[in-house]
Amino acid sequence: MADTFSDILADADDAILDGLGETVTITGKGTVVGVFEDEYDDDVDVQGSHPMFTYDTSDLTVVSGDELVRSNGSAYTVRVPESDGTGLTALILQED
Amino acid sequence: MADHRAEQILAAFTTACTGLATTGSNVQRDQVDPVESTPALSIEMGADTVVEGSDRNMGFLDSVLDVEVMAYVKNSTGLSTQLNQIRKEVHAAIYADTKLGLSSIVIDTGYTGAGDVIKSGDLEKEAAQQVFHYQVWYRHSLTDASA
Repeated sequence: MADTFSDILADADDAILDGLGETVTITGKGTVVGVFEDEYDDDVDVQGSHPMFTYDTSDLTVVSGDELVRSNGSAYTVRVPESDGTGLTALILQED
Repeated sequence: MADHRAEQILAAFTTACTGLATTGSNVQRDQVDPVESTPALSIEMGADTVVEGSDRNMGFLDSVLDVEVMAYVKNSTGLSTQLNQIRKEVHAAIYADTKLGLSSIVIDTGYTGAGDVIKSGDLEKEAAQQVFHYQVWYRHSLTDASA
């Protein structure tokens, strides 16, 4: 049977994450590959940024309160894991 | 020609709130853009209301100027604790001289409360803002608001 559109998109996501992603450590759980972003943001009239990490949900189960450590040593606490419903999860992060 | 007395009061208020232990020099007037450095204060002009019964026949007007002190913090923890510390420091600074160094203009200054703490979890650290309300009673000439 031919791949569905969702299957093709999931394969594309995997290829992009594996090719362009970075490896981070979820303390106590292991490593996972994904894309880290930290775009400018502001709220309540305060400037800041919005760090998040997107990865393949099937690679690892991450929950609120887990610690994410990048290769440069920057550490973050997972505030909320948000599933996009297509196999990817965006971890909304807070600086430690 | 001197500035409107409301402007003189806001400038004096800003001076009184500058250099405090927590917010230091992070003090601005009429904040429009999101603040870059926290903790910070912004001094905002509110309503300026002529006191009912102010005797226009005497050639002067008594008014009440609302001054809003906005406080901004960004921390991993303890937002309300830091806001309360800032509020304490602002309060002490204003009540050290409720005439704001303008004894010929200002009759009195009073604290009238604080607003809700408005919080955000959408940034790299938790952030919050809170407004502290003050009222400044002052007098100016009926024909010249700077005198």
